[in-house]
Amino acid sequence: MSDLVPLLSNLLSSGLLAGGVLALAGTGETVVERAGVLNLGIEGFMAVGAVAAIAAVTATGNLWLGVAAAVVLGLALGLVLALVVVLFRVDQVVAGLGFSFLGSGLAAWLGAPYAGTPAAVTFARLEIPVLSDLSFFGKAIFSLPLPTYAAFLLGPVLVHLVLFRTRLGLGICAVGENPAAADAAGLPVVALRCLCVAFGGMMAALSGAYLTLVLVPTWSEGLTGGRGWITLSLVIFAAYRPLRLAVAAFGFGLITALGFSAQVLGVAVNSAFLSALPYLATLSIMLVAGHRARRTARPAGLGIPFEREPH
Amino acid sequence: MFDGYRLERIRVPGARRGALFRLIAVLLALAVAAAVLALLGHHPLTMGRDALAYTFGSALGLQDLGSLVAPLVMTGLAVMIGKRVNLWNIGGEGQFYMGAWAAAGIGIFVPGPAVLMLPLMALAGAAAGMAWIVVPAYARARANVDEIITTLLMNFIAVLIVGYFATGPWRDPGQTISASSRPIQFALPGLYGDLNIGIIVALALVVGCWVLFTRTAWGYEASYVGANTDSARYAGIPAARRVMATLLLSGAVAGIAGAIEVSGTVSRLQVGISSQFGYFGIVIAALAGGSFPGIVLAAFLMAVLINAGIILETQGLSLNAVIALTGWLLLLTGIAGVAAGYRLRRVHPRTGKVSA
Repeated sequence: MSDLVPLLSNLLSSGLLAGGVLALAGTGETVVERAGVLNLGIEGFMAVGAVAAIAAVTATGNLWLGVAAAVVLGLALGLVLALVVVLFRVDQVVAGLGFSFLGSGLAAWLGAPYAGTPAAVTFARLEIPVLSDLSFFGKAIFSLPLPTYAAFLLGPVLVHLVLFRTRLGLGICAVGENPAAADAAGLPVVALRCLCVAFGGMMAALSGAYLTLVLVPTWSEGLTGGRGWITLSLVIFAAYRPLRLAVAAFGFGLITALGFSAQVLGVAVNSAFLSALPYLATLSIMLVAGHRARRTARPAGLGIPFEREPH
Repeated sequence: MFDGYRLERIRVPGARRGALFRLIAVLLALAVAAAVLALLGHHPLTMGRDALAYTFGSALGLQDLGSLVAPLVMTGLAVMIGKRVNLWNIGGEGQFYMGAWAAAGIGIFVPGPAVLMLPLMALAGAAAGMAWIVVPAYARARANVDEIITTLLMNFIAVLIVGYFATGPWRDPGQTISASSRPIQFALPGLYGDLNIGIIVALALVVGCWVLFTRTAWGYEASYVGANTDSARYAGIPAARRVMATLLLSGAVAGIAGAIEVSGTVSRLQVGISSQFGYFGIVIAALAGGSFPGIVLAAFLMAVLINAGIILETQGLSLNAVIALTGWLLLLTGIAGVAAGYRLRRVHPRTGKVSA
């Protein structure tokens, strides 16, 4: 019994740490899909962000320049994706897969020199006074690195407020539900969609930076390991709501952490099976999310390019 | 700049126009890739010449190319079959892995004459490929669950399973580096040098699928479902069953590709048995644009590119560089698909009349 608290405590903090990646990328993708666009390229954005961050940190020794590198590249690539799918109206599946391959391939190819070397600087754990001294789980919850708090609290709460409490958010949702009606009402459909796709690209790249500067913290080929795809299913599972997404991301972080803890404890379960757990769990929630109740939450204009009717 | 010109939409762009635009996309993608290589300090023209000279100038190079074309034709075909019902099978990689796994299991442990065992291995591969798509296919056909994410997730599980068997229960105890299984007892008959009959199986599958989808009522119905599910349902076609069967066929083809890889080219089950063939298949299908002969051409092009990436490894390239290039290629192919639907027309300045 006395072993249980440190064990659960460890699990909790590992779950939050691991879930941060999904929370970051998922918050961004929620906005993208609310605006009616599907970014299937998250995996590629993530890989690029991860390499950009570690490359910048290795070159400058400054953590925030690493973050900035991911932000700039994510925004730039996001704008390119927006150009392709919003302006050129290219099939979003083809474009998304293209970005997925392009990003993963470039990151693995150009990131090879950084593979295996730990990040020069990483985000240290931030002990929040008083709270981190609380008994039981105080330490687990209140002594995490800054980006983990940002991923779970700042991002989802801000996006929730903007999406559901501001005119901008109302516009974004309208553009995703019925772009033609939004256009008729005078909303700048193309501009709003481009803005959201760029934001999503930035968040996905930031989640990559989180991998190399917080969680792992080193780059290796295949580091993203399908997290971009897991993010996509979490967004559906959370019914396109940022706060629910944060909870779901934590749940998935726990599942990942469960695998690690079991291995540490020497539980006689095969490691391949434990590694497969997140994918199996994602598959299961995809099957559950296919249920009708979840489907009604899907923005009606999702994945359909908008084109003004010719007069 | 565009004064006096107007973009006009073409209602139904012809197949030839689409192919021309995709060809332009390929050339443009290669040009940009060359420019990027030049910016990174490489010499793209020399690299291209070296790669082509080795690939086409030597018997060994041609054999390498042929061994790559076979699996690529099949994984490309698998993706295109799915597109017949307007769905994306992104799980070709996993189906390939499981096909290889099932075939290897039989090839390592079951004794028998090769004449019987090789077809059995291919069948096992097909069955495993189907098993790896049955859940996503059923979820899609019955509950409309997005097949893109589900088929893709299955890939990661397949890679883990093959890794487990190749380094665990089926490990070759005689090998110090334990990344591959014991050898498989049966090998596909060779054609020439290292090249085996896998390429013939691949081409036969293309012809078979071409007949099935363009010359039979069943194939027509499946394509009808893909074009307009509601309308097909109204016409009395069992849409869910056609979707299910088509996706299973898609999985089977990718599974056979894996079976052929272990019984021909590799002859052991390895951790990285597929060199991303399943993912390249997506690009191949996009380049082929729904044409069955196009699959063979696109697979050939992709094989040349992959081969170049491997040959030029000493000059700083790698399979990953090729993957990046294919992503870029996929993007441009998508843009080409849209562009093919438009035509630039000259508008007469005074009369406002349109002339070609």
